[in-house]
Amino acid sequence: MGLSITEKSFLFDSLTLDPPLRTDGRGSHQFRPIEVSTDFLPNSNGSSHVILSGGSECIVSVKTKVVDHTVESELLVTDVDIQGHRDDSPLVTSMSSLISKLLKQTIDQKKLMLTKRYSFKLYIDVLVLASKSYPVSMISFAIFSALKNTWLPKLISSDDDLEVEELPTFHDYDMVKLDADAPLLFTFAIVGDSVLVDPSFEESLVSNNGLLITWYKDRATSPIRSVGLNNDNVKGFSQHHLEEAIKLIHKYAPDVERALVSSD
Amino acid sequence: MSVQDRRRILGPAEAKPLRFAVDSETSIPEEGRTDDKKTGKESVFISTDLVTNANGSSYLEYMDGNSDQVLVMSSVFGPRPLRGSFQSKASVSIQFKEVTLEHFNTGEIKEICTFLTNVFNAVINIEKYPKSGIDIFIDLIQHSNSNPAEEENIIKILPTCINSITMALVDAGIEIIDLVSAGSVDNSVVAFIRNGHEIVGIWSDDDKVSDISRLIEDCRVKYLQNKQTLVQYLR
Repeated sequence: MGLSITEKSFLFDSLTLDPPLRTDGRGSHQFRPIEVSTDFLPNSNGSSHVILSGGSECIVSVKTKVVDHTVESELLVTDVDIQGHRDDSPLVTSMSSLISKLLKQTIDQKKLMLTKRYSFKLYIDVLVLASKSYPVSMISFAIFSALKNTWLPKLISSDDDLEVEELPTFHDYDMVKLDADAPLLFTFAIVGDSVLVDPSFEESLVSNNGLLITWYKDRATSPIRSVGLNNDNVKGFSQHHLEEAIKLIHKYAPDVERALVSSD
Repeated sequence: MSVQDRRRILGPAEAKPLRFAVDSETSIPEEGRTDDKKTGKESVFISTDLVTNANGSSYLEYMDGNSDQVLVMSSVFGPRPLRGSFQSKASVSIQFKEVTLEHFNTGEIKEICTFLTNVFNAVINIEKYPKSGIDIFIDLIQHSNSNPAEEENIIKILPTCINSITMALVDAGIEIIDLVSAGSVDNSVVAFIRNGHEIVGIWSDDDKVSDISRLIEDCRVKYLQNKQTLVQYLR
């Protein structure tokens, strides 16, 4: 569904007002209502289901396997699947590359180690069921809440198996919560002179540029990217737009994080 | 019985064998070589109009002080007609290819392509070219790293790619609103236009970034140097 030229111009004009007038009445710092449910997949170690208003939906499942880390060094596998897009489309490949690179940087692989030989290997599968706007923010929220609610089997055998060959044995029903900090990614749309957080589909269509900023361990950090939210309205932006976006993140990201942590 | 080989198409009776001209040493014109005067270390070599069947092309060699070398060639095809539904603006597509060694994985390559497409969507005057497509191909000919232990980094080649596409677009005569160029500091690249007043792309992978204004300021200095080099070549 596209917008006509008149609709776009109307929307652009209202978004560039001061304060901006967004279609759903949000303030420039306000997110769409997010509905998060966790731990609903019985076969996964952790799972989450995120629904944004407007029908965007995303499911993340975290599964785990015990591997010998002296043989297999890669302990994190991320897979992103977006409905309606081919697996080799630029959107899917660049998003899955961005997210897997980011998770490899941020998740401490030492925390996955069970013994001196064996580790948990995490498989993070992301399935975007429906999304019109740029889905990266929603995906990162879903990964964040899935990882916060991931339970791993409790090890009862000894954790030093260098001398004695021993396979790890687990407790029958006790689980340990995975201690992992996942980053949150925020998208901003720059429309004229306004910087808007979490742009909806219509807002992305008229935006002049987009920004992607990461929030990790209480600060705005890399990757910081400019992303095209559309193909025909792209313009440059100035430094103060970027600074404004970072200021908004510093102000509101802790609240978002708190809300997501308390969702379980 | 005929002894003629029927499986071959023989040339006409009066055909003469091909004779090739003696291969003379081709020398690169030195005037295209501009050195960075400030540091005396970095050097850029620019040449344009190499690919004959492209509308515009450019070849850039970038060398920094530590013998890091990036050789990039870009070619621009278009504006050429697009079939299908009417589009009031040109659609820009950018393909990145590593010609010799493959350092990067496909995901990363797609990431640079989407990033560069976004940068050049903002710079090319796409309203001027309705119903047309502009296809840009970047060939990374060589990327040598002085420190082999270091992981291959996209950031190192990104500014050269941006400069090279700009030169190819200029060579093709496609309307752009300004010469876009980029500056990089550590693990961040910022692409600017309008003398650094406007940012058209930012790509930062630096975890240690604390002050974004400082980073942009540092990149802007590099951008101005790069842009100066491009302007000098075009003059």
